[in-house]
Order: sequence, then C-alpha cells, then structure tokens
Amino acid sequence: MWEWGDPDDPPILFAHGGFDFAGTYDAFAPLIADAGWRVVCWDHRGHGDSDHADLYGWEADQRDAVAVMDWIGTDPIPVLGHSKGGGLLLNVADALPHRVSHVINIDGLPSRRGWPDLSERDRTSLRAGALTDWLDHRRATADAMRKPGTIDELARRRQRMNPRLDLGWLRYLVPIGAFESDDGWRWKIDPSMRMGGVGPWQPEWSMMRLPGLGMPVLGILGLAVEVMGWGTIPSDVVPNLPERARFVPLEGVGHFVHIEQPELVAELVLDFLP
Amino acid sequence: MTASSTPGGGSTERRRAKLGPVVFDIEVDPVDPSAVAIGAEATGAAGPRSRVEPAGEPTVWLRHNRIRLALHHLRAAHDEAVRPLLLLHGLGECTPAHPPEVVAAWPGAVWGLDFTGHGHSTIPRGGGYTAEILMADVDAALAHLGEATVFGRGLGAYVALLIQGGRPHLVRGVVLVDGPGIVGGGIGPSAPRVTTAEHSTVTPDPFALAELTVDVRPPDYAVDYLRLAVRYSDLGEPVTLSGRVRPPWMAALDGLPGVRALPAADALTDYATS
Repeated sequence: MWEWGDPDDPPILFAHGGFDFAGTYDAFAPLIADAGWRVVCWDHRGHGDSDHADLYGWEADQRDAVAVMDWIGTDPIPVLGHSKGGGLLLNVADALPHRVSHVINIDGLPSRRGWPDLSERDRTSLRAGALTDWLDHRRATADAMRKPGTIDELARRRQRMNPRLDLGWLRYLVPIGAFESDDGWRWKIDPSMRMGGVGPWQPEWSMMRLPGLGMPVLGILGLAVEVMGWGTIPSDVVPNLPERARFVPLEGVGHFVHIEQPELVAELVLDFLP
Repeated sequence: MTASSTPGGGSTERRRAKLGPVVFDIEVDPVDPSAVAIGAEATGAAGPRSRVEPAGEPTVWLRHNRIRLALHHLRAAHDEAVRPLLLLHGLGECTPAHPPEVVAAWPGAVWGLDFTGHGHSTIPRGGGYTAEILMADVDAALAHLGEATVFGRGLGAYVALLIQGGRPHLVRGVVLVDGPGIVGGGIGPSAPRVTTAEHSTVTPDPFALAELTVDVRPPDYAVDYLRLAVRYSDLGEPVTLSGRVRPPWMAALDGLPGVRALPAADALTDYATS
C-alpha cells in the first residue's frame, strides 16, 4: 500500500495496470497530491512489493481492491485506474456503486478491435499453440525465476513492451519494481504470471460495465496504437458512455497516457474532480 | 529523491501507507499442507471431518506452482496394458475412498485427483480460482501418469473437457457426468458482484465454492476446446456426455462431430480398447 499527499486530504484510490506497480504513478500521482488529494494505491497481488499469491484471478483482484477501499473508509471515494486497473475499477463501481463517487479510466476500455479476425481453423491452431505454451509454463512455474540483468538491461527489456516510454524513466522504475541479488536485478512480479493467460474473458465484457454507471465518469484514451494497448478507437467507446461521462481521446499519445503526458492528464483529472 | 524532483515535476513523494489493524484476505498465515483437515466425504454430506484414506497405493504428491496436489491411487490395474483412468471430482467434493461402481470394469489402474483447495490438496491464500487453473492441476497429474482417460463429475466434467482440448495427445477420451458445479456461472458476465469468502483451514476452500460457482462458461469457448480435441486427438469421439443435465456450455457440444451421448459404463468400455 502506497500513498502520496497529506493524510488528512480527501482520499482517491488509484489502480495500476497489469505488470505495473504503484511506483509507475510516480510521475503522475504527485501532481494530484499537490492539488490537495491523498492518493492511495496498492501493488496488485503478485506485483511490486505485494506478496506473490498462490492463485490469481479477476475475482481475487476485485476483492483486493475492495479490501483497500475498506481500509480507506466507508464513504464513497473517487477511483482512477489505468489499463487493467481501469477495467477492474469499472467492475467495482458497477458492483458497489455506493462506494465510488467518481470513475476515471485511463486507457482501460478494452475493445475487440485489437483481436485478429481469424477463420475457425486458424483460431483453433492459435488456441492450440497458446494452450500448450500456457500448460507447459504452468508445469515449470514451481521453479521459475525471472531473468536477471543490470538496471539498464531490465529497462531495455521493459521498453520492448513500453516502446514509447523514455529509457531514463524506465531506468528510474527498475529499483522500485525490481530487486537486486548476487547475479543482478530481477522484476519483483511473480514469475508464475505471464502476458496473455488463457480463459473465456472477452474484452467487451469490461466495456459493458460502462453504460450503466450512474456516477460521473472521465474516460481518457490514448490513440497511438502500441503493443500493450487495446487499439480501442473513439467510436468503440462513445456509444457506451453513460449520461454523466466526459470522454477525452488524445491523438499522438500511447497506452501509458499519464506517464507520457502527466501534466495534461492531471489537468483533466483535477478539472473533473469536485 | 528530494522535493520537486519526482519524474513528473510534482513535489509529493510516494510513501508506504501506515497499515492499521485491517486483515486482508491474502495476509493470513500460510497453510501447512500436512495440517489440512478434510471436510465431508463426497458421498455423504454428514461425513466425518477426517476422511478415510483412499485404498490402494500411497497418495502421490504433485507440485503445481505453490500448490501441493494429492493424486490418489484408488485401484491397481487388472490389465497393465491399459492406460489409467483419472477421476475428477465435483465442486466441493474430493476423491472418494473407493472407485465408484460405474468405473468398476475399467481394466487399467484408477486414480483420483484432489483439485486445488479440495480434499488433501493445499488451500491457497485468498482465492483466485479459475477453471483453467484446475485444468493445469490435471496437467500436473498427466505429467505423472502419462496418457490417461478422464472421468469428470460436475465441475470436473467441465475441467475434463478443457484438458481434452489442452492436452489432446495425452488425454484419450473424457466421460462427463452430473455432479456439483456442472453449471458454472452462466454463458456471459453475470450481474456485477464482488465475491467474498472466509479463509478456512478445512477443505473444501470456501473461496473455491464462491468463485467456481460464478466462473463464466460461454458455449463458443467450450466448443473451441472440443475443436482442439477433434483436430488433434486420433479418437473419433473424444468427448462423451453421460449425464442428464445439459447446461449451455454442454448443450452447445451435443450433436457436434467428436461428441456422443452414451451411458458412462459403455463409454469407458469403448475408450479402454481405443
């Protein structure tokens, strides 16, 4: 659990994205805290400094989010989530509307657009390969360790998944999101976790939580397509916006909107918050 | 870092939250697997808290990531040339002490796997169950047994379908019968909710009961696994429906190539020789 700002200021809950950690808000959260908010963020289970869990799942992540909210208090509070954290908080706001006063979603509105349109035969082959890989990975998880390297090597590896982010920023993140041992630095994230798990989840399931939200909603979308993003375009989102929503698509900005443009996102968020 | 030097130019630094006396689900003490007590027998709701050890050779302990799985040897082979039969129990059940009558004629050895959080297997901390993780539990059993035919009850029937698609060369036929957890959480996202449960040191894990009654089972997802089975298995009909209940995921399979409806004993007789 991490905080920025005066403990007596009104709280706002942040949720980070998959494979990230609270420290990835170090560029953005201080701008919100400086404006008079107590920003609270937790490292998701298996991420950052939180314990590696025995199992991971959407239900468990939602439960963890609510446990953090319970710790903050019982009054409704604003919530802000990036990517997976954005989708997660859409679900929480839909399930527990009495706990959430405002929803801010930063590039966490998945659409089907990023998914290849395949023939049935190709889809079966693709799933076969993915499933075999995943089951082989599960057989090896008991002894798995992340690959060690120098700070620079870890930053460069991360840049392959975050190609629009500055190497200096990624080097800054390494000592926060990684630990050092005799043979080098390793990311703290549980080595049993991997991108693109298996399961029935469909991207539009998260988007379908959006239209029913009764609290004010701010959606911010980075339109530059990149590897970690969803490829969602404004016409995917607009029909799903609830009545009290603001939607801001940003040209020339990637998936990590708040890291690329912290001042701009802070301005949008502070203008939206009460 | 000093003030005014956060990467985004804000002046507020991140700090660890001062945690109060809140107990998070995930922070309970790790469970000692040897101390796991067992709930009611699968066959008798009023059964004793400590169950009878299954007959046959000693239980084999398998490692699936941080979970210790119990693979029970229920009966030796009458004919060593025939591959083993692996029993998968229903939701909240565990491997029975003796093979059920319906599999009596199976000529090979009979084994039963206790899923994560069930029977003698470890109770994970803080839930996070998915049907796919249970599929990987079965894969851990296959890594020990090699080729096997699988007989699944309820939840175990759904998991049997998944592993027939996931490991089509190792699983030679699955027989799906009625049992607890056969329906799952419907064909798409259900009404929004956050599942909760109390931590238990006794199986079945309440988190398993809570999460695996809401796991979504879209019919087209089930059909994808059937397609994998049909394409990569050399059995003509790798999936046999032997129960009476047909939840939507199973009804979608009924009548498709590779699927037949047949009494379980007849299906087993056929798979034993093919």
